[in-house]
Amino acid sequence: MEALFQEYLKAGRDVQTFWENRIAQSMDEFAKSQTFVNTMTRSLEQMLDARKIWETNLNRWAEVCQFVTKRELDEVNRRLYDQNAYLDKITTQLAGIADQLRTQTETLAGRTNA
Amino acid sequence: MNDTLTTSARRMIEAAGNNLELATRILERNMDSLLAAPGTPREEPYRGATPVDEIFRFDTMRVLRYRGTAPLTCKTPLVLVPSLINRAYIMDLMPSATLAGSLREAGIPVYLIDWGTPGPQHDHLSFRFFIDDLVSMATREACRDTGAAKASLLGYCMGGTMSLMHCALHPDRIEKLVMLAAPVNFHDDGPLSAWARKEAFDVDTLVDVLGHADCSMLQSSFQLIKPFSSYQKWKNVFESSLDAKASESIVALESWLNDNVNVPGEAYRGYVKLCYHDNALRGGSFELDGVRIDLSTLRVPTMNVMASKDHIVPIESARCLSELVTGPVNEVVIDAGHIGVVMGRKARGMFDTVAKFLRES
Repeated sequence: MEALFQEYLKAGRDVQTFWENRIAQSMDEFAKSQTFVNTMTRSLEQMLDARKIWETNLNRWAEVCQFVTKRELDEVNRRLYDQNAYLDKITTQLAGIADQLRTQTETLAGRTNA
Repeated sequence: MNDTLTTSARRMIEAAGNNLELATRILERNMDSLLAAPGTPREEPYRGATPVDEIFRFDTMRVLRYRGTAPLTCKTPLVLVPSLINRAYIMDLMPSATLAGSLREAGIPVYLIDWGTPGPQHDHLSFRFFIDDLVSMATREACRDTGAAKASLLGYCMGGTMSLMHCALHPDRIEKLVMLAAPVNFHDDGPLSAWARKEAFDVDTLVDVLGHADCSMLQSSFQLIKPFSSYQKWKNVFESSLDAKASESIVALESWLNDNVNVPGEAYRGYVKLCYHDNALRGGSFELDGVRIDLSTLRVPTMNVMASKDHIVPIESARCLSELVTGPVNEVVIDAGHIGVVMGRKARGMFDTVAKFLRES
């Protein structure tokens, strides 16, 4: 009786796995289909349009009420970042020049001693 | 009437003054943190399994050196380049599955580029800035730390594609290149390729409006590649709930999968246009911000590790590398998925193969 029950459970699990795999496969295929791509593109476009309208309104209010928006602060941050990057490049170049000068000085000192 | 106008005007000026004061305070706070970089450590814990030392920092990007007990037998440092989309610690997720830790124990000096958490101040940085400037800083510091003249690169996923481009830009600075599940041909049969092509995806509007590629958007797209996988995942969690090791692994992996970062806007725009829209790498020769990159001139010895069950980077997408470069390419195929290639059980044998490739002269 127990063996029969176990068989029954196993058969049930097999059927479940079969259908799970079939559903997974067909959903994977659907994700690649043109209908899905079109739907996703449209929803993304709608979301971005809504965001654009919101931002335009916010910028207008910012101009009227003279408050600073996050975008303006971000712009300041970007400029500061660029200055840091520029300074790092200059530091690297200066370090290279210092190395070369040190090598040349050592070479010259060697020649003088010789 | 005049009084009312004067009062309103005064109130408006006061309000504007208060706003300005608030803006100045915010600006000062940002200035402090920005002017402090590079060099000043900021609190952002490293969540990997192996202990690390920070050897360099530029704003949020930092270079971490892995500590290890084994003596260093390889002189050339190895710099790990992760993807910009996910966190860097996937290459060092758990003590039992760590690529970085295994390579360090094999005697290789291993360094990791941790991109950190990008903010709006990084949105204008071009894709080339990451590939060229930031990777150059990392290799320079790794070379300085070890005293070597050249460094090797190991890139995972998008980081592999970035490493390949860096090698093509500076072949004289790179000793060897290892690519792990890194796409080269972006026009394949996969869903990501279908979604991100020019006809389907207007990346300009996305970046112009949001300023960056939002992590929640990217995360949901990755989940939609296999829509039924969420159900199957939770079923697996239930079935393996009595197995402590499996549960630990699931928790670690899921924590990483959901620990997402935004991708800076211009870099994302550059990447999508260059790779998904134009499929420029497949052609072998292309322009990146006015600089010509020709993969056919690349002679750096390369190892290309691919995963046969990879649904994000199909094997055909990675395999075409050997047709594009002139140098020798060792191909290794592992029976694993996109994440399994870097931390799965089947990947552990590959760690030794990579270590051997890096050590041999």
